[in-house]
Amino acid sequence: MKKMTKQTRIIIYSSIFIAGFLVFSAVLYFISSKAKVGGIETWVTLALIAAAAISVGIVVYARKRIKRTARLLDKEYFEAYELIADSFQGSVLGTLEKKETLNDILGLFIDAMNSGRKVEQVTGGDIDGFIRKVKESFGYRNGLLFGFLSGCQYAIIYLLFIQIYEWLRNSRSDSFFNANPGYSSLVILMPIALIGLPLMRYFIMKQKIVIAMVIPLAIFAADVAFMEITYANFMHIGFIKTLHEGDLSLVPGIGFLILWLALLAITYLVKWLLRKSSIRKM
Amino acid sequence: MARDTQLLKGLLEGCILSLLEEEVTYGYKIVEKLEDYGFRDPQEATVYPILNRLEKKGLLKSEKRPSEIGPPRKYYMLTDEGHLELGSFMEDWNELKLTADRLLEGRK
Repeated sequence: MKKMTKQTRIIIYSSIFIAGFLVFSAVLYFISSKAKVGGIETWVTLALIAAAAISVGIVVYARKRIKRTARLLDKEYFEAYELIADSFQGSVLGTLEKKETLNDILGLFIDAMNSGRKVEQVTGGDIDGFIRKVKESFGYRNGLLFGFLSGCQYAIIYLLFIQIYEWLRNSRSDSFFNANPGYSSLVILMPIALIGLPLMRYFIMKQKIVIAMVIPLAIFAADVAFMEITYANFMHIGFIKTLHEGDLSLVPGIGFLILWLALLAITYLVKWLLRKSSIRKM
Repeated sequence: MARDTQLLKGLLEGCILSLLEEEVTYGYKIVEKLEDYGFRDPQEATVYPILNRLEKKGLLKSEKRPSEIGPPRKYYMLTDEGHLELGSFMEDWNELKLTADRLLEGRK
């Protein structure tokens, strides 16, 4: 059985570290909320712990799947294939495009390996260049725009999750549409959705896995620092006070719920149209 | 001139279309054939993106066929548009070749 490659070890250990951080935060949240066992806070804490465990499980499974798919490759070819597969995960290509391209590259590698060619002869000794050329063969796609659209998708999904959480927390007294999440919850989630996740995808695509894993932690730390400093020193400023104590109505009625879902659908549609038009422009 | 530059860029594309007109085949075989015809050290890293681009442009189509050594192989073949493109490439290439021959023979 082949040993784990360095790339796989980094990814698995990073995912365990982030999951551990998430579990720690969830437990801290439960303790600081002074909630009763059995309340919504208990379920949120358990859900976060379960999500952390599932995330690690998914990462390990995904690595095993790459290994199983590419089991016919020797070590040299496998390492190159793994780098390519990881880079494609963060790319703006569609799911089917990624799958088909990776299958094609695997087939090419197996043929070349069985013909006695070295991996450097196949990739020209420049795996990054090979990846870039393959991506370009799908036509030009604006990575920044795709990243922004993905960020919008994460943001809308987070908003809806926050709304559901607030509703469950007050469900005995309030309807779903009357739940008003605090601004403070948006201060952390929006930067992660709109900046953190697109940046993570970018760095995964560039094979800078460690930087990608540090980004959410850095944003979280920056957010905590910002909230603590502003709470200690600037609560006399109206905007800061609202940020800490105010709340807002994200989904005040069925019309708004439909609007959020329509916006989500539009982002998927725009991404699909951009992919189509990039092929037509070639 | 711009057209000629474009033609030079498309030389390998034209050669691949020509190879596929002769025979329906797969990526690695195309690399081997280019080598047999004298292309120096052709790489999958160059050929595969070209095949992918030609397929996306509708000049090639592909089908998977079983392979005895691994996953099914992707075999490429010309579409009607691919045949037209090859014809157009041949015309441009012959014109460029004649011009270059005239120029170079005049220097002898």
